[in-house]
Amino acid sequence: MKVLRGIVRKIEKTGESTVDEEGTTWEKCIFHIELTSFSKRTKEEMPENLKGKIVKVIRWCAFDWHYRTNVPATLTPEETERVLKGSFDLTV
Amino acid sequence: MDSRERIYSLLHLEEADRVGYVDFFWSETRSRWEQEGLPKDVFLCKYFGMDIYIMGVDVSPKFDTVTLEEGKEWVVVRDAFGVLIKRWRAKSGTPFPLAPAVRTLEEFKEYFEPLLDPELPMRVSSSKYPFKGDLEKALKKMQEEFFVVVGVLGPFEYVRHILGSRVDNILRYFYKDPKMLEHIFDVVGRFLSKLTKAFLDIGVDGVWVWDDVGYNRGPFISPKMYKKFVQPQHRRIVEQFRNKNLPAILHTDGNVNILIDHFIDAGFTALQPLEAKAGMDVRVLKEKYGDRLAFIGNIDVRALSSGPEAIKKEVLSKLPIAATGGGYIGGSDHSVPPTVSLENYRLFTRILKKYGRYPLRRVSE
Repeated sequence: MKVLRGIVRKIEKTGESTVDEEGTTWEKCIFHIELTSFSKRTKEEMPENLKGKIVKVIRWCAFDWHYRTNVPATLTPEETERVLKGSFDLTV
Repeated sequence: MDSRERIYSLLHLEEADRVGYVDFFWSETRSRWEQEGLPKDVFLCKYFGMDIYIMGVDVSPKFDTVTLEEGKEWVVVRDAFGVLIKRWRAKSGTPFPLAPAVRTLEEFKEYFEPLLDPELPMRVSSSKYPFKGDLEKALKKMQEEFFVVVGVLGPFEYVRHILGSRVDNILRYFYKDPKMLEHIFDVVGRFLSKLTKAFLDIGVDGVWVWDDVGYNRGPFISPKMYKKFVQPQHRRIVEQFRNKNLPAILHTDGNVNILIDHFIDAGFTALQPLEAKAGMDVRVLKEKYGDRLAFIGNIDVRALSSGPEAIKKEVLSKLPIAATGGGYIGGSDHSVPPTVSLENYRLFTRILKKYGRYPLRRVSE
């Protein structure tokens, strides 16, 4: 299983939100993640053509620390697979 | 996401559904909490919803433990390592060493070394599961709920203990007889690595090395001494796990900031418990080593002893930085003393698990 990592460069709020069973409000956002490498579970280098590419993914945020930019972020294995197949806008 | 997947991800510096959680408690804390409503004999890992279970391995030479003297509050025993110690009968606390198991290289070679044979079938056991078959079954069962690591006494603690347990004893040998120490470290390191390999072969998820190499003002030994005597043994234990891409966690008390690069070089992937009172700060460490090392603990027990405001402040001042990008498992900065009420502790776990959730990938998560 492969997992891509990157840096969150931009967060767009979509305006959509939902409240969970504990009463926490989660806000739908689009994260712009600049790819940097595979995570440590993958012992191979990320393909050269992906370096620096921006991937857009959906993330639901609730707490202040979720909105920080220029911090590391991880794609899911499914998102990683889509990126490796050439998709970079995963919001659709 | 279950605990195994969560911890595997976090220790590989990936985000999970939330931060992980593991902790340790004094026996007196449990007694206090039972008076405050904790069900008797409850399995605390399960009760508090921890993610990691440590399967201890018996690394002693298996001498019979003999009680030689009994006082009202203390007992004098010769333990399974052959060390004479005085310890409290019914409370936690560091035992007071009275006599070492080994004084000279000749003694070690003649009486101790032959007992460290990792090939003996009886060696692959833990105190709870003396037979390998039971151990394997227990491991599979625990892995249904936890990320299960083999917990092993590290080489520094091992050698320190058999030389009489007091830190000043082993420090004197570094000066007085380094050749003797080199031999003992080599034998002990090989033994520990073979024992942990046996656990690796039955399918544990990682290794947890208990090896206090520091106190509140710094390491017991210099980086140079660490590299010469201890690091090669750490590397032997750890690299067999790293070759399978499994995590290796080092537990060491004290302020060990100046050794961290060497721990990473030895192959460790996470550091625990990050004693706040000794000056360890996960926020600083994350900044410096966050792309190479995961962190476990660092929640100051003095805050947990205080009250709701202090607990919230402590957790929320550290968690957002430590959790970012993965690589953080919450817990106290050593172990939970009886000054912490059950109510305060429950609050801590609630805050950790609530605010430690990562941005969701889907609303249904």
